Amino acid sequence: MKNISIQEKDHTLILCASGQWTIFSLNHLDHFLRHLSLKAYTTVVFETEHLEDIDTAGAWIIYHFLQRCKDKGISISTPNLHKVLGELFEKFPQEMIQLPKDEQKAKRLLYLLEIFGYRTSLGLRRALELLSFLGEVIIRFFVSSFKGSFPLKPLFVYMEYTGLRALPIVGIMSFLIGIVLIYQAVFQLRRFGAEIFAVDMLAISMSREIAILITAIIVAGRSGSAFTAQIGTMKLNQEIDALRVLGMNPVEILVIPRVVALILTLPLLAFYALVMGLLGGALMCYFSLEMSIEQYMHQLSQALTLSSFMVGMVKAPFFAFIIALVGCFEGLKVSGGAASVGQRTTRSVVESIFLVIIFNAIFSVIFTYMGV
Amino acid sequence: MMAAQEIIHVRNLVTAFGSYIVHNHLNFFVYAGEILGIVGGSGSGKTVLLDSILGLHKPYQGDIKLFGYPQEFFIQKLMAIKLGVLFQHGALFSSLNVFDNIAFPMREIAHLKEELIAELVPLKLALVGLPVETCWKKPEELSGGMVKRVALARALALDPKLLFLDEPTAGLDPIAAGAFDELILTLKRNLNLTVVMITHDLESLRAICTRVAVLVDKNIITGTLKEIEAHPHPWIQHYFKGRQAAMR
Repeated sequence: MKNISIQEKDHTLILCASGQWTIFSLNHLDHFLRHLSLKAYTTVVFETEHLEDIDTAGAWIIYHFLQRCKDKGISISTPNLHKVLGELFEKFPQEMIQLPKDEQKAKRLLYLLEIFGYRTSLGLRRALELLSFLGEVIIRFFVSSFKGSFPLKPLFVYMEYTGLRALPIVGIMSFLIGIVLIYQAVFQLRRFGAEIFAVDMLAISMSREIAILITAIIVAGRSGSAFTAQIGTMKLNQEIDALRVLGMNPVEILVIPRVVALILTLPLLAFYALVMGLLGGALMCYFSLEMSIEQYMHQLSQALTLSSFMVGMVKAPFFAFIIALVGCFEGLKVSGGAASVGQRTTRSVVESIFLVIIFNAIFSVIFTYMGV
Repeated sequence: MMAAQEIIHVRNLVTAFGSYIVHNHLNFFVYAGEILGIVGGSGSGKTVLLDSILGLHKPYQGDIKLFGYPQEFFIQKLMAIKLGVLFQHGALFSSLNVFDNIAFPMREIAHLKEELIAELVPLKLALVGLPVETCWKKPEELSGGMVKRVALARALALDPKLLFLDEPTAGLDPIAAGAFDELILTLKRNLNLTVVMITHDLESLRAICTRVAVLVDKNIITGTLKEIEAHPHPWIQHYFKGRQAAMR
């Protein structure tokens, strides 16, 4: 066996360690010493003078082995104990350290039931917390407006980041969706000879639903997540605490400008998305129906009513409010470490998109009752 | 007298951020078995020097050798085996608990068996003076001093030959700091360690450092504590004498 030699004399076992006993060459030595049968011996002699290199792991293995001998009532002797070993042995604890059980692992049996109850109560609590946050934001908005201390500078910064910088991606996506919708509609409607109504379909679906939904989803992924990550990292960095200690309200400083910025920019983005979508439709109509721009505009002016335009636009500020609120709320909920930022950001995007879709459905029901 | 083995060899090091030069043709050596304390004002480039040696920051110019090997070779092949680092803020892996943090290098680099790891981790914790119960805690649940200790335990997990400590006693109370110094000294004696530590703690410098390096004027001055204290440079005089006067 490498690095250890074994001799037997009567009831005496003589082990002689040599060479490298460091952490990178230990697996076989550990296995050997751990499973060495001691039944036949009354004395163990462990020689260590030929050791070339030893570290704590190697020393531990020897120490552990000698302890095992002691426990079995075997007398041990360590002639010419290696200098390092002697010093290290003194540092080692007298009794074997028992690794305490991981409490969280011990509860596995009821884990499923527990997690079910925990998640349910957590979900309810979070809904209530979000509601209370909503109240706080509204109150803080009025407080800061009345005080005349509304943070205008950050407002414009956030408007630039959430609005202006989102123009390319929102424009391209909306444009492409306009193209695809016309293409699909023409393909289906051609069977009835009603291709011209593809324009009506595009105008109505774009203005009422698609433009605002696609914008809201992009903004939730783009800005909502950014809000969560920004505020969350600030929280970890104790910046929120620093604000509080300065007597400032973090909601006023961090949340209000973001919420207001998004409420102002999302309707503009949605309008822009609508225009780009209709432009995409115009391009596709030109190529697949050989419809001139004049014809397209004429058809559009008949299909696109003010009410359907308003139905779409009215939803935008509400969606903006939801996205910003959830984004900031989750950001402020970050605690612990980097993992929490990731978790909260995911949750922020999923929740805000989910809520946007839910509220869109609620709006549909309301508009149906109103008859628009 | 036989010259001691050079563990770290830095020659003509120039580091810069853009046009701002941090180190200007800096030469410095660390010999086997010593504890070198690095001091210097805030922004004098202590951490940058450490990062350059560790290969975390690419110097503009200069030649760095570790254990006699060129730095690139060392980083690729020997880094994990020979070198332990205690970062300024601990740098514990936040997604792992204390046990897994310390076990990480044992599992991934030394490929030890789990039963041995389960014994070695509590041992390392005991060595740095932490109770075993700390094992299942997450880094976020630990106090500043405990983070430092766990980080040291992780740095020592593979029994490195060279240990870098970036402000190990900053943020610890004087008693804990003293115990920490004591710990480094015992580890160094028993494990044949070479230690390079950045510190602001005069007590540590006096108690355990065999040599002191001072970063001033984009350069480095090394010597024993006595030699450095006698150095005429105004910053050094102010640093050692000013504090001494204040302590009396």
